[in-house]
Amino acid sequence: MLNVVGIETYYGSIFALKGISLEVDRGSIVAVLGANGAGKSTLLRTISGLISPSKGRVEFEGRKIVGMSPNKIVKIGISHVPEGRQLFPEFTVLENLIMGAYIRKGIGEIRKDLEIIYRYFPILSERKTQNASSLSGGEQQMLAIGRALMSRPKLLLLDEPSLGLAPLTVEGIYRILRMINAEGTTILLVEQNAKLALSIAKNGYVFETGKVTVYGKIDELLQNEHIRKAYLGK
Amino acid sequence: MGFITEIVQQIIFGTVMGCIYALVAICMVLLYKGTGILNFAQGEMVVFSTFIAYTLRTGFQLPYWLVFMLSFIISWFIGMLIELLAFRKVFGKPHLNTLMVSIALGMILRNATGQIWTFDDLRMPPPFSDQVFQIPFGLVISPIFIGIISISFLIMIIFYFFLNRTRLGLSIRATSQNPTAAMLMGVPISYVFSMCWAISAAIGSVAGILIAPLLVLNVGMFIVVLKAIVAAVLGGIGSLPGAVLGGILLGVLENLIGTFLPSWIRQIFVWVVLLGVIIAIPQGLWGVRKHTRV
Amino acid sequence: MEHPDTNWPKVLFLGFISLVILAIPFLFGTYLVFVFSVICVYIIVAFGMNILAGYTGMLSLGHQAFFGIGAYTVVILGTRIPGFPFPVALFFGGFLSGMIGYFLGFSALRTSGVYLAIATIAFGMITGEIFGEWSSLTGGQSGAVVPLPALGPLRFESSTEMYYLILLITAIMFFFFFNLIFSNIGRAFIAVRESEISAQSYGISLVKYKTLAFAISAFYVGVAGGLYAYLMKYIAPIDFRLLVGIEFVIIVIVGGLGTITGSILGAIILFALPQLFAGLTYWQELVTGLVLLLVILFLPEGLSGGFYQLGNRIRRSIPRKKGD
Repeated sequence: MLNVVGIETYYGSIFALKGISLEVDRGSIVAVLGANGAGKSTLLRTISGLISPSKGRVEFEGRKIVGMSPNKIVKIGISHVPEGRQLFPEFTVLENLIMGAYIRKGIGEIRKDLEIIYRYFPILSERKTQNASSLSGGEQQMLAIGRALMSRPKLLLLDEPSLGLAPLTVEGIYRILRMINAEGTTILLVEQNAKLALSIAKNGYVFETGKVTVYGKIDELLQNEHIRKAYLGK
Repeated sequence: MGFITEIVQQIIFGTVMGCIYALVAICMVLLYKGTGILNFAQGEMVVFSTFIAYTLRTGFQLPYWLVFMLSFIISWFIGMLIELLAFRKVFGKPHLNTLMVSIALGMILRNATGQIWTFDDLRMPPPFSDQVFQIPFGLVISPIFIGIISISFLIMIIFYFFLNRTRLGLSIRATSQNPTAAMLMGVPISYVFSMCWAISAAIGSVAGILIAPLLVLNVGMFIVVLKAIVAAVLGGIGSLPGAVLGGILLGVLENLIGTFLPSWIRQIFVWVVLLGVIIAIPQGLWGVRKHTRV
Repeated sequence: MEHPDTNWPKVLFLGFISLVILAIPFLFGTYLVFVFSVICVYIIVAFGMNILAGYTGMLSLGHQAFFGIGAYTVVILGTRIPGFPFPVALFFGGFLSGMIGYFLGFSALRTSGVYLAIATIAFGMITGEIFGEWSSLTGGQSGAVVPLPALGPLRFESSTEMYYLILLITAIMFFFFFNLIFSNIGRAFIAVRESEISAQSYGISLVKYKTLAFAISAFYVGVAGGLYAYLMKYIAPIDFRLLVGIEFVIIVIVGGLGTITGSILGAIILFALPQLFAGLTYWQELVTGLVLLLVILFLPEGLSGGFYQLGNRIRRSIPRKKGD
């Protein structure tokens, strides 16, 4: 579904991605692991159009999307939940969710989707008239994910959803991610917490300083000595 | 009795002037919130548009309602043009770059206005009768005051509905809080920026036409409008209602000060207020100065 | 600073330039000598602005106030006390500016960036108004005649005499500027510009260095103001309006922030421009604005930045000597 070939991206003057190639099959969950600064976020930002790569191509369902503006990329079905959530602090929970459906028409369908999101994250329904900035970290993450889902994306890009959250909250979120995937959304997940990511992903890529060093099916990765030592602490 | 009359009279004058400050301050705050740019050339843009209106009125002898409309539309496009030519390139660069760009723009516009028309004073015919009427209590009032105040408030109300009830308004509000998130929601950011500049320029042109008949129309008029920066900061640079409040407050205070103290103190009053606000209450009387990203 | 191997081409070049500079009154007519004098004044201004903006990273759009304070000080002292020695007058003008700048610097502690710029604008507008209103001191809106620079029985009147006087002062100011930016203080300034938080963790007191930067830059501009007064022989509040402050900033932006050559280049450009349009003073503002706009849009490093890139490319192709 998503094909990333030979991407080279500069982040400011830093050479962040040095020739990344990646594949995401429809309906799967793909994990991207690696330490801080390895380029994982840059990859997602390149895919969602926030950054332009200097070389390489990205194809989504056969279409070349490099050079497309971010708002167009959302329209073709890719939704990005960025690092740090990036909510609208002065909007309420409900307004944030509605913003998620910005590109959509049809109040009826949007309302239905709101109900679905509330099913996933009941706490959001409770807090729907509160300002986004008043939510806890975990609630904000849920809101960010819910908001991204409101555009009915085919592919969901998640940047470090577990960052700064309590383990129990994270487990809850990951359960929902599995559910979302089961209902048809493909997920490309960036995580520092390798164990978590590998628990729901089918395939994984490991980034080290801008390059892919290891990739493959999850079972293979879990067996890999290097990965076990570096990322799973075994 | 005379003392109170004088105060009330000055409050009336001040409110009229304050409405203009408020309008221009709204333009600046809209730009600041929507694009993150503090537009030092706002005054010059207003003056430029006003000169255009002058020509439409005195050169082409068009009726005033048409002058307002045409001026609005022309300024709309001028705003878009300015964004495209000058500010697209500095998007994302440090704030001081955009500051200097707007200052440079101001210089160019100011001089261009003088070159195209004149550096001398012009008399702008008033859109409403500027006849002066005596009303009870020895106060003086004129249709033009009522015209200015009512049009200003009309614009503010329309603007409020625009911002809160339209899709573009929603896009602007979202962008002002978090441009990255807005992009990821599908908001076409460059279009939003372009529109912010267009609206800002257009509303500014109306403000200019309203006030020019009361003052002298000349290239130096931008200073009057520069005071709108003070109004914006006074209200809290990130706040639109604050801009309105700041504008009217500034107008009234300025006039009251001018009545009781020598005129040069009135001149520096504005700047003293500005300094004071920036140093002592940076968030302004109303709002939050900086946005916290979540 | 030791140079184990002297860079002969550079030394010869600088030596040649120095000779030319010294010989200017013999090479050119009165008007051009005047032009060079003015350039020197703006070079001093550029040093001052650079200390603030280039090295410490704070933008001020109100420095025309110090220009005026320096100028009016020289006028007042020279008029009230005939024969008042000009070095003292200049120094006093600079010192007064520096003190006021020091206090302005305190406001810099509460604000930064754009808001600081706005605050300095307000400061500039207030002093500008005072220049115009305090007639008993400044001669009000109609301005004041500047007495000749005096030193004992000497009076400096001709353009040649003024030129050497200004050149000398410029050289002195340059000497201090050069030493300052390579000293610990200079490094502290740069540290503050790069990252206030890191600077503080190095024990650099923001209070001390920000106010110091303001004070020193104000001093420089104040001295330049005094020289400007002597040169023009007549000043009025209009010489110290907001546009002038903006031009000061333009000097360092166009020339390149934070570099010595930048200061000099910017001053030359800013003054050369109006000369090119001599007689077309009405266009001056437009052209200056255009230059500024183009520089910011296309050459954010300023001209010296552009030359620096060029110089780098040239330098890389020549084997380097140590100590460069």
